[in-house]
Amino acid sequence: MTSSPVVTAPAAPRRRRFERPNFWTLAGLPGIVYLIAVFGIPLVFIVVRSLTDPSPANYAAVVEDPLYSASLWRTVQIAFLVTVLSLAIGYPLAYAMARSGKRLAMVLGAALLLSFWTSLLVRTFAWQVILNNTGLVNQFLLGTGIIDEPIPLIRNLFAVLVGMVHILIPYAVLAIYASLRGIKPEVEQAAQSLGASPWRVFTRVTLPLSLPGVAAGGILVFVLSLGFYITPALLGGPGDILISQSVVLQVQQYLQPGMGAAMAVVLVALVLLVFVIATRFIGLGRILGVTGAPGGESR
Amino acid sequence: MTATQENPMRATTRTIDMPLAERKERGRAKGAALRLEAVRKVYGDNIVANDVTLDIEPGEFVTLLGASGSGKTTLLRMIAGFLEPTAGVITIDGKDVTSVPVHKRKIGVVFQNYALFPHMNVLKNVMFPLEMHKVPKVKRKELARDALAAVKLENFEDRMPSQLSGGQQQRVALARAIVMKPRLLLMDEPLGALDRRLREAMQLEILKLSRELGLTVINVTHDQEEAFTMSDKIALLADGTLIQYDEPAALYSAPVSEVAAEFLGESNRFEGQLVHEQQRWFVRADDIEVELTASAADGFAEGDRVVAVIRPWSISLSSADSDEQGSVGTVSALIYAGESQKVLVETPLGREFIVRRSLDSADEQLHEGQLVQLSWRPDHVVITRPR
Ligand SMILES: Nc1ncnc2c1ncn2[C@@H]1O[C@H](COP(=O)(O)OP(=O)(O)OP(=O)(O)O)[C@@H](O)[C@H]1O
Ligand SMILES: [Mg+2]
Repeated sequence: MTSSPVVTAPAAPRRRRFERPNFWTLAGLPGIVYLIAVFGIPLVFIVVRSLTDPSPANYAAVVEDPLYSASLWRTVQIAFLVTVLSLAIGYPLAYAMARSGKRLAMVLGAALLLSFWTSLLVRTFAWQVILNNTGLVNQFLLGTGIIDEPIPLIRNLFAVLVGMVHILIPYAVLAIYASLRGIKPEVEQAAQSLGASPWRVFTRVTLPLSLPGVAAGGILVFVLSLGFYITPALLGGPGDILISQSVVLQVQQYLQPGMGAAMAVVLVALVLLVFVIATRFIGLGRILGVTGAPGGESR
Repeated sequence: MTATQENPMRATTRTIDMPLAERKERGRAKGAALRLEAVRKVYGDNIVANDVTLDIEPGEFVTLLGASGSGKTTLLRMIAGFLEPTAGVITIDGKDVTSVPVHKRKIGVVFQNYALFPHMNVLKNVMFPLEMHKVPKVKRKELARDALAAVKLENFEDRMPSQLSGGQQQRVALARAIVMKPRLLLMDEPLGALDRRLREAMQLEILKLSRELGLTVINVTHDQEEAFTMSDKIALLADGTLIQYDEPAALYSAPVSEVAAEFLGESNRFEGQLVHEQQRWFVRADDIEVELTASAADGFAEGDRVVAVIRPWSISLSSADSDEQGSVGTVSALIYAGESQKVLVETPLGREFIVRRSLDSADEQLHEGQLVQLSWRPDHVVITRPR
């Protein structure tokens, strides 16, 4: 697979020479100052705290104590599951949006964006209403006599996955949609005229050309999943504590802010690690959606 | 017919011209026969293909020529199968293919923007159709290399499409389209994005290749020069209607209408009345009288309103004194265009003639403001119906 599009997509220029600041650097300055003030400096505080309250042994605990390492491992697993599900469900949706007629594409896009723009809290509570023992699903199943007593749909892994996939799927869909739209119709038509059946056109041309979008969407979903707090807290069971929940527990319940800080740093490090690995394969700009899809552009 | 003989455009094809009859003999085995019967395509109330009927013989090189928006691409896409006609039948070798899906039509298609697979290298691009048609693996490389050799790209196998120039990409696209030896090749402005020199070189190569393979080719262009250089026949389209389908020379010498005449390059046109006097035929306008031969007047009647067409190459210039008879004018501009010179001559009554002369001819030097005599042979005059 030396010719996979992921490998050959032109990487964003990584190294830049230092130049005299131009207009755009100056224009970006307020944003940079803001980021440093509200993100950079607090992060430094947290790192310092994780090393000094009481000592760097915090990190040893995170890794060694099964209580913490389990939640870390569970977080990665759930993030992975959410990513796979979002891509599996999101790809056909993105494909339908990219290839269907204008009207269907509009309806699908509107539905997606509407859910995207609705507050995360509202959507999570909505799932509570739907999945509760007295919720819509159980009411319906009980009413039709399919079941005799409510089935547990909430406070478990299932509910967490449903909620997180619902909230994160727009990222996957939009990234895949963008790369599908970037494929020139002529490229697929050429494949057809060269004897490829519709299925082969998809597997040999469309899918490989959309892989950068899949990768970008997947990485976004994965990284965002790692830090999810509200949804797993409201929909998950007591046994499904994720790392962000652990952080809160450490700080608020066990009053060990140093421990919480260490876990938070591990979480940030995890995210950075994913990004570093990802950017080795596809440009950072692509993940963040600032560069166009390569698609059929062959120049 | 005679009008085209001194047209240098035609000369370029001679070197690789094989007698059409012989080509047809070879082509019968290889190229496909294509027939469109009253093919119609309608978008809303916009008729984009208006009952086009076209017969293309095996091994013929046919160009669809027409202004932008005349429906060339639409017609080609219907032949390829990307678009379904609103009505009408398309047959290949007598078989109705109107509802056969694209991937089963076995037609080679070359797109204007090349449409190479950006995620495959050159060799893999060319091997793709072989794979789709389940050619045994061991043979694929060899066949693909043969096709690349045919387009002179032997050493580019490992390049990605993004590492090729436009002309090279188009060659790969061509190799990919012919590697399965389709019997029909469709090209939609394959050279449109290339510069003039490369375009001319590629024209010859495509022509040579298609003749060697005996392919039936349908080429789309709005470059009339390209159409003349390459085609056995030209199908002239205007607003979705096929207005003329004929050999280039015939199109040149007997355009069916002023629209057709206009499309085939620069021309001097005079609208007037057809007059028959003392066994001679004339087109009489207010300021000029143009004589033509009886055969050119064939199919027209005395008194018809017609347009006389004289090609710029058919007019010769000589210096004149003011009292001389016939058409006299002043040189208003001299334009050098490659190996030829374009001369604009204005008559005293304000009509402008376009004249073309070759530079290497022993013709005398002209200068602006000079008084010249315009002359042409009656058998170089063709007439057609006004628009
Ligand atoms: N999908 C469509 N819906 C509506 N009208 C269309 C559609 N596709 C093409 N047309 C119209 O059909 C007409 C012919 O288009 P076509 O692309 O065949 O022209 P063309 O001869 O190839 O022109 P060009 O030389 O510019 O490529 C145009 O007027 C165009 O606007
Ligand atoms: Mg076109």
